[in-house]
Amino acid sequence: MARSKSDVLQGTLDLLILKSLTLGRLHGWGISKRIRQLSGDVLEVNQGSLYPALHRLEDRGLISAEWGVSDEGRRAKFYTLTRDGRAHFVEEKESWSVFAQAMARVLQAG
Amino acid sequence: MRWIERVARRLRILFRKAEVEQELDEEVRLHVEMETEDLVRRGMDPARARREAYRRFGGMERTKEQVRDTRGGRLLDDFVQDVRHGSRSLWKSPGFSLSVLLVLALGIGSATALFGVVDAVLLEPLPYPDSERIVRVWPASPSRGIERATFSYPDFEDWRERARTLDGLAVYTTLPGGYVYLGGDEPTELSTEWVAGDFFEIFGAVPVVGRTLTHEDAEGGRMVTVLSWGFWQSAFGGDASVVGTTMEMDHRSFEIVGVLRPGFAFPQDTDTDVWVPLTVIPEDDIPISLRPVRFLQAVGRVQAGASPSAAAEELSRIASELEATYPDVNAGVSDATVVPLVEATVGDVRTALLVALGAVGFILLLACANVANLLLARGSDRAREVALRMSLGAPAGRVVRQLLTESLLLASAGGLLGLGLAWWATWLLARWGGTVLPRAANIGVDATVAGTALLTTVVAAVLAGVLPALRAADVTPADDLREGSRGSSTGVSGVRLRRGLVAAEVALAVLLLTGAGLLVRSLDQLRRVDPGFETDGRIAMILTISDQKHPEPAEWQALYHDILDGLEGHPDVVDAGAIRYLPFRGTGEAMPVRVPQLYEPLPEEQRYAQTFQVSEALFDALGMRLLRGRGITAADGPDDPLVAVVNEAFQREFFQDQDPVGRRFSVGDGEQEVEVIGVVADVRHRSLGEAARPSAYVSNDQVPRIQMAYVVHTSDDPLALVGEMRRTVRELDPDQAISEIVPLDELMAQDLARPRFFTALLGGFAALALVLATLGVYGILAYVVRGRSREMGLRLALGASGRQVAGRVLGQGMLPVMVGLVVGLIGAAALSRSLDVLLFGIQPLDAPTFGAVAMVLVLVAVVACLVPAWNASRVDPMVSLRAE
Repeated sequence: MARSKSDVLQGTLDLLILKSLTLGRLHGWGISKRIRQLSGDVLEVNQGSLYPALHRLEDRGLISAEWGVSDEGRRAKFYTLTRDGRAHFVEEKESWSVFAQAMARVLQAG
Repeated sequence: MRWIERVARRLRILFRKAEVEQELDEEVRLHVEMETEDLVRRGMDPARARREAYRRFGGMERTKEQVRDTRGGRLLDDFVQDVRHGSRSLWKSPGFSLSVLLVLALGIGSATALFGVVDAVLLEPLPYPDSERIVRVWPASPSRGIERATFSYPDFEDWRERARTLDGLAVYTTLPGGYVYLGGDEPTELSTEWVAGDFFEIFGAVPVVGRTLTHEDAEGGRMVTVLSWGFWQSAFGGDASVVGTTMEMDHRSFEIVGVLRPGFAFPQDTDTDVWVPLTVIPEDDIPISLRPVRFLQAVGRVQAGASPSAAAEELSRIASELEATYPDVNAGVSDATVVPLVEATVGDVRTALLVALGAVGFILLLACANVANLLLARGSDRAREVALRMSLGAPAGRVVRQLLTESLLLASAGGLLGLGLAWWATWLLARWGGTVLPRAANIGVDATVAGTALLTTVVAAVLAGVLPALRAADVTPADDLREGSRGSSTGVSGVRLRRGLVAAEVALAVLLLTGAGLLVRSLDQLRRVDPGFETDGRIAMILTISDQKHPEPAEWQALYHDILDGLEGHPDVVDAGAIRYLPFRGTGEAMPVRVPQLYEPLPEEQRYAQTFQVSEALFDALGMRLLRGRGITAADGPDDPLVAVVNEAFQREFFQDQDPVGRRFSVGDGEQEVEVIGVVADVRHRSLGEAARPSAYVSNDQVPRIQMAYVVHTSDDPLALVGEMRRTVRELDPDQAISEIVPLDELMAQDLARPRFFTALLGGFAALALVLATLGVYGILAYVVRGRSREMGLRLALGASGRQVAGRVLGQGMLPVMVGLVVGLIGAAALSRSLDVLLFGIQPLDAPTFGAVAMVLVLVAVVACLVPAWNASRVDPMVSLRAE
C-alpha cells in the first residue's frame, strides 16, 4: 500500500510545503505546482497526502489559512507561513542538509 | 499560532462542523477545477482533463477522511458524535436503559450515602484547631486489667505539672444533676460541666465576649462561670453587659466572665450550658482534694512534634513515680492510656461502619456485574450492527470507544440519579443514625462526598463497560452477519462469560445475606435476653434535690420521701420506687468488697461490686425478681444496721455456691459491715449485651444520694402520667427542677438502637443484593431462552415434553447459581470473623444463618428461573421454526 511510502515521505513533504510558502501565500494546487516546478518536474506531490499535510501543519501552527481571491480572480483557500513556521523551516532545512550530506557520504563510500 | 488561537480553531472544528466540512469540500473541488483547467491549457480535451484531474487526486473521500484525522480535535469530535449516537440508541431502548440506570443509581447512591456517613464520622477532622494533637488521657492499672481509669484531682495536678510531652492537660466531669437556674419561666437544670486545667486552651476555644476559664480559676476555687452562646442567647438575649455581673445557680452566686463562640461543644453532640471551675464543688459533697477520690475524665494536647505514644510513655513513667510516692492509695495505678480524641470519640462504631462500607462496596460490584450483564446481552443483540460497521471499515478501537461512550453515558446518568438518591439517603441516615452515631450532625453530602460519587461513577462505567465493549468488538463480520441474520444465539463463550457474571453476583449476594443474617440473629438473641426488670407500664423521672436549698440531709431526705409518697398516692400507680441509676444509665458506685474467711484479697487483687441506692418498693416498681430472703423495707432506717440485697453475680463472685443470705461482707478496709438480706435476679445495668456485674442494692435511707430516678409502675399508659408526676414535684417544691422523664421501654429501645440500626442497614443492603442477583439470574435465562426458541421448538417438535424442556432450562439457570452459592458461602465463612465484635450470642460460623441463607437463595433463584423455563416449555414449534 501507499501508506508506507507516504510515511517515509511525510517529513519531506512538510519541508517541501514550507519551502514553497517561503516566497509568499499559495493555495493547495499552487503548492503542488510550485513543488513540481522547483524540483524540475521530478517530485510529484500525491494530492491525497497534500491536503492532510496542509491541515496538519495548520493544526501545529506552522502555517495559517484564509480564503481569498487568486490572480485569476478565483476564490481559493490560501496558505501563509507563520513566524513559527518560518523558524521551523530554517531549523528543518539545516538538519535535512546534514542528513542528506551524510546519506550521500555513506552511499558513495568505498 | 498562540494556544488561544489553537483552542479557537479546535472549538470551531467541533461546533461549526458543517462550515468546516463545507470549506474542505470547496477546497478539494477547487483543486480539481484548477488541475483541469491547467490540463486544458496544455491542450487536453476538457472531458478527459476532468477525468485525469480526478484520477490524479486519488480517492477524494479518503483524502477528506485523512484530513479530518490530522486536523486535530478528532478524538473530541468523535466523542461528541459517539455521545449523540449513544444517547439516540439508548433512547430507542428505554427498557434496557431504565434498568441500567436504576441498577447503577442504586449502587452509586448507596455507596455515596454510606461514604458520606463514614467521611463525617470517621474521616473528617474534629472542629478544633490542630485537632489531631488533642488526646484523651486515662490512668491505667494493668495489674487489674483496667486500661481507662478516672483521675483524682491531686493525681491530675501532678501529671499536669510533670508532663513535658503535653502542651496542656485538663480534667472535666459532669456530676449527677447540673446546676439549677431559677431565672427562667420554670426551674431549669443547666447542662453543667466542671473543669480544671487547660481545658479551653486545648480546644482552642475562643470567647465572643470576656474570657474563658483558666487553671488559676480552679486553683483559686473562684466562683466564676463561662456561658455557652446558646444559653447566653436564651437567658440573657445576647446582652454583652452581663459579663462581669453575677448569676444565681443552685442558690450560689457565680460571676459571668465570658461567653463562648456559637458551636463550641465538647464532647461534640452535647450542649453544655455553663462551665465552672471544678473546685467550686464543696469539699463536703466530694472531697476532691483526696488522692483516692477518682472521678475525673481528662483531655490533653500533645506538643507539636510529639506523638501520642511518646506522651503515653512519659505519662506512664509519671504514673509509676506517683505509685512509688503514694503506695497506699496509688497501688496498681502504674500506667497511662493515650488515645487521639477522634479515635476515642468514634470508638466501637468504627468496625460497624467499616463493615457497612464493605457491604456497600459489594453492592456496587454487584450493580456493575449486573450492568455488565445487561450490556453483554445488548451487545449480542447488536452484533449485527457492529459487524456491519466493521465491515464498512470502522477500526475495532473506534467501535470499542463508541460502546464505552455508551456505558459512560449510562453511568453518568446513573451517577447523577445516584447522587440524588444519595442526597436523600444521607438525610435519612443522618436522621435515623443521629441517636446511634457519634458526630452525626456532620453527616451530609459535601464536596468530598460528591467527588467520591463522581469517581465511583467513572469506576462503575469502566468496570461495567470494558468487558462488554471488548467482546462486542471482537466479531468476525462475515460470521456474525450470516448468523445474526437468523437472530440466533451468540457464541458459547458469550454465554459462559455471562454465566460467570451471574455466579459472581450470586456469590456477592450470599456474602451480604450472610452478614445481614448474622446481625439479624444477633439482634434476635439480644432481644431474648432477660434484662432482669420489666418495662411495661413503667416510667421514670430523674431529679436531683438541691442540697443548697435543703442543706440538712434529713431535710432533703424528707423531700425524697414526700415525692415517693406523692407518686404512690396516684390512683393509677401500682408501685413507686427510686434507684440511684436507671438501667442503661449508669453502672453504680464501685465498692471494694471483703468477705470474712471467704474472700480476703491483697490490695492489688481487690475486686469490686457496684452499689445502687434504692427505695423499699423499688424491686416491685422495676419488676425485679427477689430470689431469696427479703427486700429492703422501711425498717432498714438510717440508724439501723447496714443491709444489702445482692444479685446472683455478687453471690457467684464473693460467696461461690454458698447462700449469702444472713452473712456479712465488709466494704473496703472493713470500716463498714453489711448484712446480706436477700438475693435478686441479675439486672443488666450497662447494656443488654453485657452480663451483669456483681452488684449490691442498699437502702437510700442508709446511704442517701441526692440524685435519684423515681420509677413508677402504672396500670394506665405511662405517658399519661407525665403531667401528674411534674405536678407532684411542683407542689412539694416549686424550685425543684426535673432532669428527665422517660418511659422504660424507651430506655430499652435506646439500648437496642445501635444494633438495630446496623442490622437494618446491612439488612437493607442484603435485600438490595438479593434483588440485583435475582434480576441477573432471571435476565440471563430469559435471554438464553429467547435466543434459543428455535432449539426449544425443535426439541418439542421431536417429541420432548414441555416438562423436559423446562427442566433443561431450569438446570442451566441453576448451574451458575449453585456455583455462586458455594463460592459465596466459602467467602462468607472467611469474612464473617470480621463481624465478630458486632455479634451477640452466636458464633461467626453460625450454622442456622448459613443454612437459611443457602435456602433463601436457592428458593429465590428457582423462582427467578421458573418464569423463563415456563416460557421455554410453551414455545410453539410451528411459530419458532418458521420465524426468521
